[in-house]
Formats: sequence, C-alpha cells, structure tokens
Amino acid sequence: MEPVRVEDLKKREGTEIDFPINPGTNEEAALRFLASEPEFGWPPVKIAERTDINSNSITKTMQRLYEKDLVDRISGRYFINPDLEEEINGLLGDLHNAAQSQAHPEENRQTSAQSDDISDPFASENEIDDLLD
Amino acid sequence: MKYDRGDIVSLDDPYGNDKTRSAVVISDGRRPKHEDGTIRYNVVMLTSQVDEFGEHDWTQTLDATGDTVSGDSLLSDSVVEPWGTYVVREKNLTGPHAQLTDNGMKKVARSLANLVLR
Repeated sequence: MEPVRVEDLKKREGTEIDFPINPGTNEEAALRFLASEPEFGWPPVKIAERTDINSNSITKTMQRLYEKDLVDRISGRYFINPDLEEEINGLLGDLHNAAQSQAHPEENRQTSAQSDDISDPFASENEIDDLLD
Repeated sequence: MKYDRGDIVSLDDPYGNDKTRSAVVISDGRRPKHEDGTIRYNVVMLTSQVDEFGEHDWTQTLDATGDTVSGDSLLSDSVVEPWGTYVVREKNLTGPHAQLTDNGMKKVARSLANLVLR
C-alpha cells in the first residue's frame, strides 16, 4: 500500500460515503431525478410530479435523503449534494446494474454459443501478432 | 495503490450471480483518478470453464502455473473473458492472489485485441 498525503486522506474520508439507498424505492427515484438535474433546486411537489412519487410521501422521502446528506436544501428546494455528485452518480449506476442483474438471476448465466451475427474483422490474427510484438 | 497490473484478484460476480469470481487487473497508476479520491481499477474477468469458453474466437487460456509468476498459481487453468471488462473500486477487490507473467499478460492483450479487431 502506497503512502498518501494526510490532507488527501482527510479529503477522502470526508467524501467516501455509504450508500443507504435500495433499488426501486422513492428515495432512489427522487435522487436519480435530482442527479439528472443538478443545475436546479426543486420543490418537493415538483419532484413528486416528475417522478410519480405519491405527493403524500414526497416530504418524508426528501427529508430522509437530506438526513443522509445525499441532497442539500435551500429555501425549500432540494438539489443533489454538489460535493458528492460524481460519487452519487457512480453509485446510482451500480444500483441500476445490480437491480438489472438480480431481477432475473437465471438470465445471468453465460452460454458459450456464438451468435451468427458476426462482424467483419478489422485485423487478421497475423496483424494482431504484429501489434503485440 | 494496492493492486498492480497483472494481479489476480477476486470480486463479487459482476454478472449478478451469487458467487465470487476471479479477474486480472489491467490498469496501473497511470489511470486517471476520480474526484472522490477512491482508486478504481480496470479488470478483465476470468473463468475456469475452459471446456465451455476456451474455444471461443476471442478467448485465450491461461496456464495455472505456466502463466503466473513463480510461487503463485491460479486455482486452475482459466479462460480470459474479454467481454467481461469492468471498472471496480479498490474496496470491492480482494487479493492479490497471484500475478501473471509477461506471457500471461500478452494472452490478456491478445484476447482484448481479438474482441476489438477480429
């Protein structure tokens, strides 16, 4: 393990986050919407309209996201925490991939069959040999 | 940086199956870092299913002992799966369990070149 400057370690500790969001929840839907619109602050009622989250649930949903420090709030309008924007986008991507692959586990099994839909080669085996020499 | 190019590592199956899989690290410290400070690695998945995937047009088969640095070895001969390329955070990897030789890494490169060019 390589040494790391203390200031970088402190910065890393400050930005590494656990991601307490489950796929398919209102929190995920609201966070995904705000992550797609990072330039704007949105009032809860508008977030509910744009995400189909029940208007009776949106206030609690946003409060939970706020308490988890994933969103920020000014004048009653919510926006993605700018300090964590890249990390949140990455974790939302992971969440999506996990949800996709876990939805039908039997579909994850690989098969060795090659499709007949095969592209023309860009290089021959000999040309690849030359590349690797 | 905990892992180096050529290290054999293990990670949760990125295809979503409930098991641990092996992979080889193909990036090193020149990989651009991310704003969040976390280190990420490019990896290529390996499979021990030589009979199933060893004959695929793109794959290459690593010899469990012949393609690893002396003293280490793979659990079995393993097929490089060039379609299984992922970016993984350091905290999601364990190992290194072994390291590939120059010849082993050339098989990985050939496999990736096969996917891109052939």
